[in-house]
Amino acid sequence: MFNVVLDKPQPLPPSNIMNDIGKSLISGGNFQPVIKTIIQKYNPQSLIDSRTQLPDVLGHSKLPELLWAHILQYLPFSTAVHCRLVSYRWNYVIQRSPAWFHRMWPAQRNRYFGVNRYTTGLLCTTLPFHSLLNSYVNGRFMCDNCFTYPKFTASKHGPQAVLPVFIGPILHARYTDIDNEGIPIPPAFFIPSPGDPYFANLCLPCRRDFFSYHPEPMPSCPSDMTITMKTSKPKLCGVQVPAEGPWIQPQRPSNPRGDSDCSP
Amino acid sequence: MSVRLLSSDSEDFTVAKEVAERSMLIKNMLEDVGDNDNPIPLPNVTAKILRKVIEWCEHHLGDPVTNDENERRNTEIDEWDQKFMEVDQETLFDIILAANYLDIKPLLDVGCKTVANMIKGKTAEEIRKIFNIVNDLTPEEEAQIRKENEWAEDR
Repeated sequence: MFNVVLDKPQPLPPSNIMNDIGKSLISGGNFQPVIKTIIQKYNPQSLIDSRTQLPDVLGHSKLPELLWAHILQYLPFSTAVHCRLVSYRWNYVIQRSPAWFHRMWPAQRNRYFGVNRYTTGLLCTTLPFHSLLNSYVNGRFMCDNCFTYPKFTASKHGPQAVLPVFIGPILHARYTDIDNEGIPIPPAFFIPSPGDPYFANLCLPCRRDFFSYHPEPMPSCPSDMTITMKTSKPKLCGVQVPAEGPWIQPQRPSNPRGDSDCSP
Repeated sequence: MSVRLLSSDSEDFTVAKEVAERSMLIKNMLEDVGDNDNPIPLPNVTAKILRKVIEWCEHHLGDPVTNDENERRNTEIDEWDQKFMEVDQETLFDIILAANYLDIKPLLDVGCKTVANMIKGKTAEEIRKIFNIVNDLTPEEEAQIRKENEWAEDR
């Protein structure tokens, strides 16, 4: 739960107002007007938006950012990206929400590449490390599905390049598959451990293929995921995940679609 | 066994212990303090909102506690809750804040789902109108977001 309101230390009134109270108390005078000033200044109903300097009539600022993030997590990703255009604050909330970050990051990788990652604290947790270590060549990533190096780079060609896709829920579902004797079958291409980022780098055709089999999932924070054994059929957010989906077959010899976007 | 709750505007409410214990905050308090006749002060919740919260807790008294993340993320709201949440925006936000403060996860989820359903299918301009939000993005920032959204929608 988010106890932001409680945890946040309340700012003290400015020293001049405190001094006014002190003077009133010392002089024994009527300090009602001073208290009224403080109430007027610190009444939550009269919150002023810091950017627009306009009063927040309906309490838009009433909810702390984490609660807005919680609300926006119930939106499908396609709606959430449009919500970034609502205001600076919404953009800020959606960008930094852990539920969305794995999808926002590809779009913003260029913006953050020039920034010291230790000060932003953003790249550290979400980089597709296994792919970075194994398959980064001349600014291009290898597609983890069809094992090709597309000629496109993210900086020049944008979405046509190989981009990381968050595959945590799929991996999780696959890891809970059981064979006839009830023994869990781990994913063949790599054995994940809790805390792995669970990303796969995919070229555009493979991404399209992936999303055609696995419709847009509801957001889920990677840290929520734990590896457990389930006997029931794996489900992904209400959508039935095929136990043996055609996606990511490790020994697949080549890209079956023969897309021209991928050059070996 | 009943528990007394004191709202921020000093209104005293007496509720059944099981009802009050839907709130994790109150449940933990009762465990720490033990049986006590003194009212539990709730300085962040007004009487109007506390009344609504108690009404919700009484209705959902027998509900099983679900830890299924997928079920929690389902945006469907049952009929009674939908009616319960038919309030003005300020009250709705107050209920969400109270649910967060009192640590009543299911009520927080219902409140958040209600707001999310208000947002669904609306354009940025319509959302601004609903929540009375001023567009404070500069044209450059808007252009940057639109550009990034193209990437996000590349599939």
